Amino acid sequence: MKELIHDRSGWVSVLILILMPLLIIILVGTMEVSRVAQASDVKLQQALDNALRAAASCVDKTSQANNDMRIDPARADVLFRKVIADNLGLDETTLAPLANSGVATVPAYQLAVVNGTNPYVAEAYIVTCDGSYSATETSTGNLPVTVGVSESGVNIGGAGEYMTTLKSPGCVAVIKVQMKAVTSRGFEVVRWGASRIKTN
Amino acid sequence: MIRFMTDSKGYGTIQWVLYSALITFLIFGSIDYWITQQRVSQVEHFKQYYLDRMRLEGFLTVTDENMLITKLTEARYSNIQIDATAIESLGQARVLRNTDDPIGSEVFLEIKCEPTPKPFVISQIIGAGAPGPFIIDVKGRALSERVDP
Repeated sequence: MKELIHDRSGWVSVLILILMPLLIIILVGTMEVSRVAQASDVKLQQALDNALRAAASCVDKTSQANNDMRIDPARADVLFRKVIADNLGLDETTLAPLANSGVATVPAYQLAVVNGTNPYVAEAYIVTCDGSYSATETSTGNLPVTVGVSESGVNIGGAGEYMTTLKSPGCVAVIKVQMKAVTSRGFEVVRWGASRIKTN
Repeated sequence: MIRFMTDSKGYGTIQWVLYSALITFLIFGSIDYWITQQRVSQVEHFKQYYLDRMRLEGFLTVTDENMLITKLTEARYSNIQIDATAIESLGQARVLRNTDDPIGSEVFLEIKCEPTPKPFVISQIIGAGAPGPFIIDVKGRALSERVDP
């Protein structure tokens, strides 16, 4: 201790000068990691799950009357967007972030509504919103249908990083969102989810 | 700087004490920030669970409302305020499923509460804003799936 008191080398200042940037990086890193976890695993995933459930609840009325429930794809997309917007603090029409939203830019998403062969609505309907908006219809054949999911979107009947099988009419979506960060311009998070009509 | 570094008045110890306080402050602040985020996530999970219940029931039932308050209290939150589209204890009617009317069939749940103990907010220590109550405010919306009252 006596040696430390009489120490005249000034090593503490040098040590702190070396350690301080490291400490600040750790501090900011801790904040960013906890924000990423909160934003992606909690907020975005919950919003996506709620939106997909809302989309899958849009049963086509004619199909319901015939006890062969299929999802009305256009209506499903409207409700999907509405619930996503409500939960992430976005404008319902443009999906542009509102004040106090944790989202930095307009999210990009791909929503697939899969109905299988039926006489009422499209077999599959894919909505892509990534700066521009497009909707396409495709055929799937009879259910069950396997859907591949990757960061780039959904692939009906094809491969993907994750695979999900829809035994009954349902929806699968991938959403890519730029979240606000503490220090940087933001970080991109990608989440996917699926929901389907429960039938006996 | 050279003069400071070659000082022989035992400043090494004083420097170490001062810098240690700063380092501890930074480390503690970041850990506490992380804990606070976890507390927010915890309330988000409670909110999502009871929003799911509302989606199925069409309103926040008396049982669910009491359970939510109990769980939040047990998890050490105080000043709990619950706002919802329809609350059974207030005599409000269930929100029913109607995909033709997404606004009318929407269920909403908002929870406001204060964690105990109050988080350590670095910015308040260094003078950014007057210290006030720390309120966690989470909310969510979903479409009701309740068909029959």
